[in-house]
Amino acid sequence: MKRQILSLLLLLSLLAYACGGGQKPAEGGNFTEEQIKAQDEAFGRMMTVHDEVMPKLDDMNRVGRQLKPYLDSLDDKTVMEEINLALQKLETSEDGMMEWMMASPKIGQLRDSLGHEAIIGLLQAEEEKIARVRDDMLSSLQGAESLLARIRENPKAE
Amino acid sequence: MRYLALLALAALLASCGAGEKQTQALPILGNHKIDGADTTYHQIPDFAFVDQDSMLVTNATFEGKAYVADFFFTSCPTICPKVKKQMLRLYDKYKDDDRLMLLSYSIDPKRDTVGRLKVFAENLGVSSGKWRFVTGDKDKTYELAEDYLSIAREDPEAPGGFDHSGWLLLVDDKRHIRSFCDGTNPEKVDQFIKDIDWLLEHM
Repeated sequence: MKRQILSLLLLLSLLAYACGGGQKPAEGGNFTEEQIKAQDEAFGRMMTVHDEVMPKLDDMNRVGRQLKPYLDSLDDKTVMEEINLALQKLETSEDGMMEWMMASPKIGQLRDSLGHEAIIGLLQAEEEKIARVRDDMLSSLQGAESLLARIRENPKAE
Repeated sequence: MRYLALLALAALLASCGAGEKQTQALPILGNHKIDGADTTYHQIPDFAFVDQDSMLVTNATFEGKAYVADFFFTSCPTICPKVKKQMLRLYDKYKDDDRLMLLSYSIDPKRDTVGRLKVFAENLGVSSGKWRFVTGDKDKTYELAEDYLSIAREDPEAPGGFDHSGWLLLVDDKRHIRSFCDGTNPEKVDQFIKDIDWLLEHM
């Protein structure tokens, strides 16, 4: 009886090992090291675009705060409309960044739910998305800074 | 003879620097106004924000206390989680010490509502009385951040600007900034903790 129990336990252990219970799965589920590396690189490229432009949020807010007082002090309606448009673009592009971050993929979650090709495809798509966010932010910032410089150079507008 | 050896060993261990305290006085940081012989030290300006329990938070909230401040937002994917991990170290170390509080300002008030901050705080498992997460007017938040980080002008190692780099700032009971560190770097936070200990001892 004892021998039979021991044999059964041994068989169960072997089964568990064969099914992968005897070893930790490689990081990232069933991915090879090369696939993990490719996924990390794709994630890194996406985040590089994010990191490049993230600090601009401070500049965007600053130029917005510098433009706002002119809404009260200017007589020129055309310039006031330009200011409002510039502020709107700053806000919209900031929203774009914040919303991208909120929805941005977490590599661990991707690995839990997707295959390698799907992960790479998704990360490439997100890299393109964040690149568009970057372009919007830089464009809105440049536009606002140019407008501010023009207003400051033209005292007649006040 | 044996006891002398033990004593010598104890003295040696004590002098090894394990748990070395901050001994130099912390400077008062910031852009001070100097008028002849008089110096008006920089102070954190007035502010009013709402925390995760919808309570108003102002300078008066920290009367008689020191606090550590940072600027963050809940959807931040990279820097903020690292900083929060370090802030949790501070929370765990000082949670029973009423002389120190933690204050995190959200720079994304549009999305970081009071409710969202409440969930965020609860997920961290922290008490509102100790760690306030606040939200308010975005422009005022950025102005305040620029003021906190204006210490950059004098110190080359200080924050170069408000670029979400995860800075932690230590404010004393008189609203003076006394220390700062890179909140993403555990070793820098180790030194920052010594600064906190010094400040609490000398408040």
